[in-house]
Amino acid sequence: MTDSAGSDLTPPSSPPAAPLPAPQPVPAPRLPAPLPAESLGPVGYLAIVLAWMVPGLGHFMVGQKTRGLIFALTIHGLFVGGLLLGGIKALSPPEQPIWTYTQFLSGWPMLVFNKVARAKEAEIIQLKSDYQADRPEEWKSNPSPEEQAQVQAQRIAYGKKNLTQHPLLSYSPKIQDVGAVYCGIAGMLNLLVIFDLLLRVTGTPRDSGENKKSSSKGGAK
Amino acid sequence: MMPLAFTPFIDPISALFPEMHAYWLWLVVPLVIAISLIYRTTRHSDLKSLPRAVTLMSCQILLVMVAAAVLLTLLYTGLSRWL
Repeated sequence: MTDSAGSDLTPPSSPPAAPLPAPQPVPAPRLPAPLPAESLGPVGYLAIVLAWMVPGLGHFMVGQKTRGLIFALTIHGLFVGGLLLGGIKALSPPEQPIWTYTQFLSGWPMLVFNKVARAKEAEIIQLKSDYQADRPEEWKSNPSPEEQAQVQAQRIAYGKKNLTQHPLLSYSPKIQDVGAVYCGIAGMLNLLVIFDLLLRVTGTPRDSGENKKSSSKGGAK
Repeated sequence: MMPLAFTPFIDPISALFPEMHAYWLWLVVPLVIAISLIYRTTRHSDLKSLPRAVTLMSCQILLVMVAAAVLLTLLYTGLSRWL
């Protein structure tokens, strides 16, 4: 067996004539010491809180303005896009609570629009009950085909009229789900941004792909 | 249909464009671009190379998703014929 320098590392078959010197203790590989919480400092803590409240603002605070601008535009854009697609129904979907938690990670947009959504809840319930109450009844048992067609046409016309007056009643599950996902992903991306800020504020070296590439190149040399 | 009472950000956009649900899968594309943009911005020290990296990552994600969809479709078709 030889090492990279080409020296023979196999133990000799015969015992050495002179006793070998005691092996020096091998120093343990240096690991980055965990940073104390104090290293964040008050500005660091403030930057983290602001990064959650207003996506991108934390990076602005620590001088990473271009990065902060990219984060702010993308995360706000994604949240607004989700809200445009699904309306307030995209927020806190009752069947999928996981999206509610992730949406709250996006900071002020969720805090504000969640309030709006909660305020509209009573209105939505009222609209739904009014819609059900005034809806043309289903045909009775054994209707003739003409009666069936007539009732169906009445119900369709009633639905269209209601939708024109109250677009909030519109129901398109796929689009609303995509809206919820947009807002939820905006929150998760904001969490990623907060972690990035934390690394930058504390000066923790990042083991990124770029670093790995450069170190492997350096090792080859 | 154009409801006059439509309020953006409150009412769902499907009230304006009811046929939109047929194209919902295309809404994945902006989402993928946004994810790539944020991820690459956190990882790149030099932002000049960002557009290229974002384009590359977006294409990679979309290609893998398409490949997974094709694979699953083939698997499903094969299994449904076999069973």
